[in-house]
Amino acid sequence: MRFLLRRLGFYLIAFWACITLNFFLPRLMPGDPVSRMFAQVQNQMRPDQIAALRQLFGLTNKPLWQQYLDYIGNIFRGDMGISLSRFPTPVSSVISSEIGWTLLLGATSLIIAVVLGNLLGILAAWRRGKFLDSVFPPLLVFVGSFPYFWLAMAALYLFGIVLGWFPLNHAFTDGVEPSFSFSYVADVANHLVLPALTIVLVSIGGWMLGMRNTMIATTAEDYITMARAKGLRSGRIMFHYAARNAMLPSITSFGMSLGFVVGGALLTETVFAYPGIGYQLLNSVQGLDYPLTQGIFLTITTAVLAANFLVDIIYVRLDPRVRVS
Amino acid sequence: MSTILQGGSDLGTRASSKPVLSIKNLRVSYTTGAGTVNAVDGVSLDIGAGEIFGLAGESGCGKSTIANAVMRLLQSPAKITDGTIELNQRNVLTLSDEELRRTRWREMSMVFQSAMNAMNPVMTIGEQMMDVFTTHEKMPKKEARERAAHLLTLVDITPDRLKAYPHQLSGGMRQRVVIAIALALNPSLLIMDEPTTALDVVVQRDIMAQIKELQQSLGFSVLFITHDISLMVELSHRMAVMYAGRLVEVAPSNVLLDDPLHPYTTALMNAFPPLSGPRTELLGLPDAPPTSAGRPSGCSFHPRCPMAMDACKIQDPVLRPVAEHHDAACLLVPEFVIPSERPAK
Amino acid sequence: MSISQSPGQTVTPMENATPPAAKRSILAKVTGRGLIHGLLTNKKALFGLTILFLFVLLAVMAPLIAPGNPSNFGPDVSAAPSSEHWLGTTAKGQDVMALTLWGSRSSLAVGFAVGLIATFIGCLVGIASAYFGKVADELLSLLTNIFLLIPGLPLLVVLAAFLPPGPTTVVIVLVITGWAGSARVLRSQALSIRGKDFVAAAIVTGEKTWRIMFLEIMPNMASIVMSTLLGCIIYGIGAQAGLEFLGLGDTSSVSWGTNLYWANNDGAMMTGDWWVLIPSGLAIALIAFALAMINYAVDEVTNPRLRAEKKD
Repeated sequence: MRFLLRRLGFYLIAFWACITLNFFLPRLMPGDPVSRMFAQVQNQMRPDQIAALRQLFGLTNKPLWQQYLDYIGNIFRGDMGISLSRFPTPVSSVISSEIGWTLLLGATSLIIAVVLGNLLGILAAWRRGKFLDSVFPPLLVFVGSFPYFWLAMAALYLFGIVLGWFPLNHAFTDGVEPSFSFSYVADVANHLVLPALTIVLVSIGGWMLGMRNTMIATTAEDYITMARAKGLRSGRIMFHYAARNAMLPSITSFGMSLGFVVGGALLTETVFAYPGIGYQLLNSVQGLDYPLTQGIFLTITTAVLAANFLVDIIYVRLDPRVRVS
Repeated sequence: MSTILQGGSDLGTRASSKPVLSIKNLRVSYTTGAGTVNAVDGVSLDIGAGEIFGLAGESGCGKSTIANAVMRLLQSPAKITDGTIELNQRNVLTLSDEELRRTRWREMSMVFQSAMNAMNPVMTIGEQMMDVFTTHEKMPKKEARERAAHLLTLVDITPDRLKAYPHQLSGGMRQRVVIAIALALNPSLLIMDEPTTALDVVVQRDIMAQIKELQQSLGFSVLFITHDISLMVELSHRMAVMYAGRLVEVAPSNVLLDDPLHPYTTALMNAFPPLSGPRTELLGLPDAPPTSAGRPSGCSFHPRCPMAMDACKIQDPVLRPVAEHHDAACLLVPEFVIPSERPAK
Repeated sequence: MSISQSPGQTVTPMENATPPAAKRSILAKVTGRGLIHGLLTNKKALFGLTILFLFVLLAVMAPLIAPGNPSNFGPDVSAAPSSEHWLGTTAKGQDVMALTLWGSRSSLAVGFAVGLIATFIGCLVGIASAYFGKVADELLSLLTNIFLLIPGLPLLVVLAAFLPPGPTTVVIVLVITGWAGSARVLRSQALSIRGKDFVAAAIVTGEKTWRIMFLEIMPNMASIVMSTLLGCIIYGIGAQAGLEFLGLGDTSSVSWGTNLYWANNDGAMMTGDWWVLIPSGLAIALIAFALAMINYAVDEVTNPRLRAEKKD
């Protein structure tokens, strides 16, 4: 329990650091980015909205510390300002309307990559020097060396344009009404294949190699020798004895890798014009929609922190040694 | 060479004509970048039914390698290059993987040196006991749990500890759990590789006493490996002393205690104070045992031997009978012709 | 026959069980010469070093092989590879080979700059953390962990959005997002060296703090610093490309990332100009693969357990 509380405390500090970063970034950056933004949008806005924006970015006469407190207060009320590119929609509703797609894409590809990558790693370590162990790691490292977006483009070009197997962009066919019908779900799945494939391809090698190496270290442990001496079947030794222990570092890196997956999703969404918050983040930057940029950044960070906490909880369940007796 | 051991033992635990474990001319080599090294160099020994056989020697002399060879647990670069290992009249070395898996633990089991490392840290001790039953006896879980609980009581641990994880037990308890697991299927041979080195002396004695008790009631044979010769003398019926991959002296324990013939045995005896009785002067062994790569000419022990003669540098002594039920490999000790083996007429 | 049942031994929880640290800590200290010798006899390392050397050579020789400004528009538009344009031309008539060659200069320069600076900061923070311990360690570790946890690319995008565009910005932004991983790995290694006798001896003899940190501790973790550096360079090259592909870098410069940005912008995929897309992407992949190979070789040289072994 104490372990989890410590972790929770750490995540809260990290969250606070992010809010603080968000607060100071537009205020302290050289080149006065906020003025640039105002120059662009001023004439399209009502005076009260301009006033709200001024407050958001500190163009008021209030002292900095008071602005800071106001800002934190707003964040905790879920008020992240108003989007400029989607004027006058609040940032929070822009995000909530799009985060689902990112979650779908991120979760699908992450789960496939983790399960498949770890499984391959376990098998490669268990059969050292055999086919799987000698062919896959270098191949996957090579594939993983390509930039996310390049693989996304290659997949798009090959399977989308040349072969025409999968749709080129968006999360579902234009004009199709979202519903829980089979055709809609199939349409969404069809649109999901290429973006997810890209992320899986790039990230699976890391999982496989990480798992392989910890498995190799684990198989040298005495408890594996004893399990063999006990005459257990090799499947049981591999999964219950070796993999269950080798998995533990993998779980910790799972939390860490969420950040990378978010980044990968961002690039992939951009290539496929997939309507998630990654794509939106880029659009907001290009449209100088700073409130939205910041809102998305904060949302992503919060999601990653929360997911990490979840991973910690799972870790405690899997490793009895961190459970304090 | 094969006349070495004719199953001699003391005090009524005489080995039957058919030994439980019979190792013949075992040779295990390690191939490393520096070349090939014989960690076990032509060792033969028999262990009779119900016999506790001790194998003593400094670390690195190859005694653990023998244990792992018997269990067929040797990992590359170690390799058995010669010899046979018969367990209940079956050659362990020619068993198929599946036969080997079935034989392990059912016929021979092993207590590892460090119980902490030998237990899977993320499984309860109950799970680690039960999977022996569910695998080898196809037992339903409920029954397996009852058997595991019974096993725990055998080593004086309350059955509610089945749900404990290894790290929640004390060192002594962990080792007793490992012993309980080893006895789960009532094997005919129990190998113990330095089972108590990691424990303090009091716990050590308790555990050794418990093993002796269990051995007497269950009747399994034991191959007991330790560098602690006084502990071994108290426990085992017969014992062998090993040096640089070879057996240098084999005899019933009380004989070896009273009348060690090989200078190395004498030195080893003196290196440890007996558990009971007055402390004798510690005669530390000078230097270290030879790294098996650079084996000296003649008798391997001669560079460290206080009684070495010139001949020891040239002639390699073989293990041969020096008295009844007593073999030694030393040029200082004259050969003894066993009466029954005297030429007829 | 009862035994005093002491409570279970305390087990250090997962604090140090994080994956990179766990993997790295196995690495024994292998100092300079042994490492270099090991690398020169390792197939993976030789493969990686050869590719790396070729790329550096091509980058240096770019002005000789493809003279003139590679961004200049030419008359041949969207031409497939031919004897005249070996790798074809873009929709604007630029020679793809010239763009790729010149692009390697910026990509390699930024990659190596980011790698060196990030590793340096990582060393500084990691070793200081391990050396001073206590509160300094707590604070530096907290900072490191926060930066590790904040998703890199979104932070990159946000930073790039607020900073004035240009190559310096790119390097700064990449260093900010890239140093934490190395700091954490180096800290755990420095921690184990911190406990060694020779460090204690150096402290007792009154050696200067910075000397102990950089001349006593750091040389003893050469292999880890090396593999961290390689990792940071890979990160630098890849992240620069990503940033520029998103149009957040310096779109007027020529680098592999901007090449792909313009290719995408000009609709190279839709028009089927695959030759515009392949060279820069392949170049990034090859250099990253080469560096990764050297990295694995460092691992293998210093951690024999990972060396491929054949079971008989």
